Amino acid sequence: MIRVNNGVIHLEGHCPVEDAEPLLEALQAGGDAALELGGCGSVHTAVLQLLLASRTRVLTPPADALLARLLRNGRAPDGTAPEEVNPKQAA
Amino acid sequence: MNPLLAQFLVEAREQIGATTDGLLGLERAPGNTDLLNGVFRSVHTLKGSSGLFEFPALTSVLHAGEDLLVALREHRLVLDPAMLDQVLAALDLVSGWLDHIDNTGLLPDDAAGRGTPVIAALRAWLGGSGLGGPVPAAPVETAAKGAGSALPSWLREVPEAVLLDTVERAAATGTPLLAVSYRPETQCFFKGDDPFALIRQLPDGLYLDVEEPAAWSPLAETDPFSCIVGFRALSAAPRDEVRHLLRYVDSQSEVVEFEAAQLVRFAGSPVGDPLARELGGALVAHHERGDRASLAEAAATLLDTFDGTADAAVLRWIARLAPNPTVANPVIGSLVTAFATGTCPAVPEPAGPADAGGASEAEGDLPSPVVRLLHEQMEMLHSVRNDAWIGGCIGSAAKLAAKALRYAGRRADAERIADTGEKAFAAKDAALLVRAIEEILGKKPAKASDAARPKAATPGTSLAAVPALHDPAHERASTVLRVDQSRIDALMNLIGELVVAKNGLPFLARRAENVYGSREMAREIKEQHAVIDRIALELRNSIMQVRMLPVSTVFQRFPRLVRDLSRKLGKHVELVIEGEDTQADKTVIENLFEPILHLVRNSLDHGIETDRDAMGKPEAATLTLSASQDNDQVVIRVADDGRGIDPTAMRRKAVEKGLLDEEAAGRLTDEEAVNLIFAAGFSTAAEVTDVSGRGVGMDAVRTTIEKAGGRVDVSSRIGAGTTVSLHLPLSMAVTRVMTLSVSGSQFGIPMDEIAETVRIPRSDVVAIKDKEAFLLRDRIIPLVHLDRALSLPPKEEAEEIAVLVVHVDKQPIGLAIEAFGEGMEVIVKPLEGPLTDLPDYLGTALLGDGRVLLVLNLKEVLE
Repeated sequence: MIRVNNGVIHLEGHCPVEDAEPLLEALQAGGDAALELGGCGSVHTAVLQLLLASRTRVLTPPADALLARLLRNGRAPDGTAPEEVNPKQAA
Repeated sequence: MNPLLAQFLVEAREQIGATTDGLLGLERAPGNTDLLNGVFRSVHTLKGSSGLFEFPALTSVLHAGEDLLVALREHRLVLDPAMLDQVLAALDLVSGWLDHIDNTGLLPDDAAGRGTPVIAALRAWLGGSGLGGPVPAAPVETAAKGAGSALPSWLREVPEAVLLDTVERAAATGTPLLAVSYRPETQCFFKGDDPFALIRQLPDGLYLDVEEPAAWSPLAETDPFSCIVGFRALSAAPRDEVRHLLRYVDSQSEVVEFEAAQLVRFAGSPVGDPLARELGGALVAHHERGDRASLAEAAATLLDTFDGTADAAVLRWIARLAPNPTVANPVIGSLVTAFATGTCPAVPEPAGPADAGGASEAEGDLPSPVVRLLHEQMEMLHSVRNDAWIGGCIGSAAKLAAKALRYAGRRADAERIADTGEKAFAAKDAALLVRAIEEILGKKPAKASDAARPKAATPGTSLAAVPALHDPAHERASTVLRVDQSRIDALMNLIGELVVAKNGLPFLARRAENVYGSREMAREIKEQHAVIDRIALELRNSIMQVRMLPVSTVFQRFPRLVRDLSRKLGKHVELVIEGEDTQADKTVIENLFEPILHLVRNSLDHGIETDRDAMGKPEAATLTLSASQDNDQVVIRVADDGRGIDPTAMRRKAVEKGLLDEEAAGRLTDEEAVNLIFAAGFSTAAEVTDVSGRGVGMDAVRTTIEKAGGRVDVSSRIGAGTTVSLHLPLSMAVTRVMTLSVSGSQFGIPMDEIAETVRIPRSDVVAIKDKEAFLLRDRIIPLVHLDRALSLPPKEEAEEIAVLVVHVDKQPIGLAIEAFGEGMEVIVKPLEGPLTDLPDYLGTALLGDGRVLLVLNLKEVLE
């Protein structure tokens, strides 16, 4: 589920497809929005692709290693090979 | 239609019904061999009889289903819910075709095209077990063995560390790898797909990444509900498992099988630095000596020199892979050559079974042709019953098995088989050899022999078993008649006419007495009338019995529906069906499906919670469908143990929707508030889901049931569940009505709406504003003048009023009429043509004297 607090977008627990629209609105609203993903368990593809597209600052990465890696991949600023996580171990 | 075909259609539908029931039963009790055998027999019979006609697509779909069931029966496969989905889907397809055949006598034109994927899906389970015909390979799945060009190009972008891990892992297990790319449809979210969640379930996943679009569109232009990403993944799982996972998105995904060795192509592309060529010689020397440790060390040392150059990648691969004994020599060789010659690493030739590395001989699996050969030998040994032949069979089986094992490089096993073969030959005991082969195959003896035995025994037993199976069916066929429904309907109509004609006799008797003055004649006519009356009654009851159907004909559709819906909603629901033997008239039964379906959907969607654990309830919810007979009514109950209906929420909602004002809502009892769900335009579901809540509310259920002469009750306890009961007349054909006259016209009112008849003096009627009421046993009952309600000319007011007390929506209302008539049984025919839209009348009935009686729909009249 999604919650916006002082310009910080909190994603918590499982984020179903219904969260995509409010997330998009939240991302568009604040110029300097930040994402707090510490409590984020799993996300629907629709939410995932918004997170990838937005490049918004992430305060705390999600606990789920695979998700964290995918989000970091999209952000690697210098193009270095990001650290790999085996999805099986991650799960 | 050809009578044989007509018979086939009837039987085929029955077999499909039986198969569906059996499959659903199997899902609950996968180990039940009786059920499995029953299902198999049904499909087998169906396939067999379909062969009599020219329906090749139909026969092959059934054939594929039958093969799958054979595999299950022989324990070669384990039952899986997804497997059931496909068998059920195949049955649905066949069922649709049967309808088409029924209408046109032919299969639909697209039958072959639609059948092929279904057959492929069924056959996919059988996989490479070599049974049940060829497995049509999906076009996208190119076996890329040895052909490096078929590798997906995105593998280049996979991080080196992942590739190295993958190569090592695959080398250790010796299995091929799968490169999966999944590009979901843009609209897939609307189908409820979550591609990310799906691909995360990829078995034995080694790598997963997102395939991003070429350019992200600005957020302002982004449509959050169209899927613009894809996924790429590597898996070490068997192809069947991966295919199974992606079975619903088959067309959106591509699975390429390849050998780990092919990945060396991505070990960088050395530029042919002269220094590298010179130093590469040392690596080649180490490699040729087979000294992996030195090779790795040398490569690691060279890395210091070449770090950061184009040659570094190959060195990293060598340093990492060389010390690993499971990585095959040709792979290392290819890398070393690439570095030394400054070329792109070439994909090594796949290693043949004979020169497999030491590790794979000890623990690796036998190549599949060898396994198949060994199985064939065992089956052959099982099938031989003749002692004279057994010796020769043992000899040749032992020889073949030993040769196959030698080919696979299992010399020790081959010797063992040869030895055992000699012993078995001497003792004429095939079991010795079979056991030895089983041990080599690493299977549990029981399982392997089960797999072999029934198959080998089929030719012998099936001949004996088939007539035995068919006997009970033949017996039944001799006592059960299949009669076309229209013939029963015609009989019913004739009986209706007979009843009307019979009702004419009392009029005739009256005429005989009054007009012709023959009292004796009148008495004789009345006597005859009594006799005909009794016979007509019995006749009617007999026909009603014929028209009676058990409720199970409706209920039986629900196990499948509940299963599909609950799977879709991700809820675990146990369906309990009670009293399915309860009988009711066919028309009643036929009207039941839609309302029950609506109630079941509501229960599954809104009633049953998703977080049952948190509520302290068992995870599996229970949905009960029950039927029982209550006097001349049949009562159907749909009960769940879900969250129940909250009367407070109902009141609030009713006020929000403007159905009631706040004060009226507050006055409702909890029970009345719960009953608000039947109000038109009422839906408490916050959102429309795929399953229910499309605004066609419970009022549709109530309307349907009331139209059929029934009523609906709901009772609910918060947190404990909801029960909806449908009360329907056992038979709709004959209605008991009471006749009455108003302003000189005769009308009928259904008897079950009438509470009592009273006569009250005019002085007892009190006027409350413009309404009238009267007191009956200390209760104020509103009085309605039926002549005014029907806009008939008013009659002069008598001193005493005849009042019919009726119940409408459980409220007593007094109807002032002119005179009571008599109670009679009539067949109410709905109004037709331009009169259909007159809501005041339920229909018309023909009276014995030829007059037409209008039967009132009191609810509409009084509104």
